[in-house]
Amino acid sequence: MTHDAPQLDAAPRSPLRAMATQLVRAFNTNKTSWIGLVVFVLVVLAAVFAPWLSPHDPTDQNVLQRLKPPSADHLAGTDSFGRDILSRLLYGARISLIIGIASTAIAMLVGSLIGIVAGWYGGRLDAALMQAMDILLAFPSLILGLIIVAMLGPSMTNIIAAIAVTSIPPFARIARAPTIAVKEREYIEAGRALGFSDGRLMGLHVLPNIFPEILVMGSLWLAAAIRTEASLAFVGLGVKPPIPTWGGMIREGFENILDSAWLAVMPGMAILIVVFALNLLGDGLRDAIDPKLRGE
Amino acid sequence: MYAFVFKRLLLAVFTVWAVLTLVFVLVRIVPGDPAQVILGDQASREAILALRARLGVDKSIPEQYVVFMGGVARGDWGTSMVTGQPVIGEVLKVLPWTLELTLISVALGTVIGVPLGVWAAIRRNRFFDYVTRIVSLIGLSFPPFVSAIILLLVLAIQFPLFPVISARSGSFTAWFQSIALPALNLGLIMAAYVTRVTRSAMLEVLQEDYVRTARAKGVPWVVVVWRHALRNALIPVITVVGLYFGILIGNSVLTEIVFNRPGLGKLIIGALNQRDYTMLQGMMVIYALVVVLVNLVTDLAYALADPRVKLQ
Repeated sequence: MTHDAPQLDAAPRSPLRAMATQLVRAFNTNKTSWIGLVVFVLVVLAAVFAPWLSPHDPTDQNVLQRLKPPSADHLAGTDSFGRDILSRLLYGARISLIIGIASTAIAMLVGSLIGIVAGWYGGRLDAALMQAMDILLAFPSLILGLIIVAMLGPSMTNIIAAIAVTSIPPFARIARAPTIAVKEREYIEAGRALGFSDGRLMGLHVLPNIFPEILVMGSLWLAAAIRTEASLAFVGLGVKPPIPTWGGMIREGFENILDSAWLAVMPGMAILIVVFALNLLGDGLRDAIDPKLRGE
Repeated sequence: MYAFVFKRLLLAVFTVWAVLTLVFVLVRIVPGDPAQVILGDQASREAILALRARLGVDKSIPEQYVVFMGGVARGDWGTSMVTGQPVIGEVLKVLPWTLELTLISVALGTVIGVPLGVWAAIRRNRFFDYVTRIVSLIGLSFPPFVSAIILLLVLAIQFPLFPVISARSGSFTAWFQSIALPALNLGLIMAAYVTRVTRSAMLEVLQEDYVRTARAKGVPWVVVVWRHALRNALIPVITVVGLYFGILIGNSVLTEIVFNRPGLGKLIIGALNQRDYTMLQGMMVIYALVVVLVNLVTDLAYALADPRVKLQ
């Protein structure tokens, strides 16, 4: 059993330390989060060290080695151009992670900013910002993503922008509610009495308090972003070939589904593992951080 | 109650207007000349000018906006640039396929998800609860096209119980066989959502005082759970099912592609591949309207189920 540090509901001494303490406590409350974190970190390492780990060049074609099932030389087999699937999986992880992390980071930043400003100022501004978020939510996110990428062209930047736009509203909602609660706290009053600006109070005192919640949602939305990127690539709106992407590999593999099923199944499993790890991580942390479930 | 409905309707009208404006803007963010993009670099100047006129992009932006809004108000959703048919006609042609698929999936998702969620909540932190939570989390993690491919591989190719291409024909058996896999795919993913929402809603409700009161009065546990608690727990479930609709639409697009089944999904992907911008614009309008409508209905259902909402 872990011993929780005594909870003092006073102003945190250091916002960063308070945040770290809360996160570590959350991890220890729900141990499955550790499993999710470890798996995710392993995938990140595999992506970072892809050039050293890959047995072959992911774009090297070899007509004599087309559609070979897994063997000693090609541990995960080869695709219809004779390219090594394992190497493509490792390099594909890079695209998934870059697009996923960049789009989620943008959505987190913009969404939290909108949510904090809306919650902090309240009134008309709050109503207008939240109404705008509702309008964005009126589009099925995959359809909105499809259209944006189709209109702008499937480059990495455009895909990141499209996924980011569709994930802003949830972050705005998550940031807004705790901001409303936190802004009534005594230490905010104290800060105001000391003449701190709104920007400083929001950035240095509200944000650290709501950051753990946003970070937890971030891990869940990173999972969603990776799934969306794969979906876009599957319908042909991914980063252009020959750069390997998991969704694109499934798309190519699906054409050979009758005789070489592993082509589609292997990248499919890769996506499933990453998304599941992130969901495990975020879900466990959310349970631990959620005030409704805390203290049971 | 009437005031609530009226207010909610007014908000929906405003949302529709804003959504339409956003669609208008989105379709016009294409870099460069849409006619040039559609016809390619080799096209003659006359052809490009003719297409610009046909698309209506030769007019000024405010003029285009008025034409667009007027068209939508009159029920004119534009004409497909590829087939020359009205967008609404093309949509109505395949709508029954998508509607049938999504309705059966929602039913499946609810029928599987609600009892599992209730059961997991009762068995909290016991074996059944852990298994349900892990399995439903795996369900949530599956990209819909990956689960569809796996279903296809196992149940249509490895064990050919169902057809590979999902298109209905005459008899009930044929219809059932063709819809079974796509509906199962969407239904199972939705069940994962519903299970989790039902579980957490039930956990909250089971701690309420009236549940304890009912137990203290000697009401059997089964009646307390399935009648008293579930009825109240279902309210958040309704909301989530409503909010899930947007995800369901996206998932159905991917499912229709894997099972090669006609529907809105195949229509929109076809329009994307053929750069049929008017079709895309029309379909986006229709999708957004459907989502706004579903949200409206969800809100009203919520108000009907929970009297406290009306008082706000």
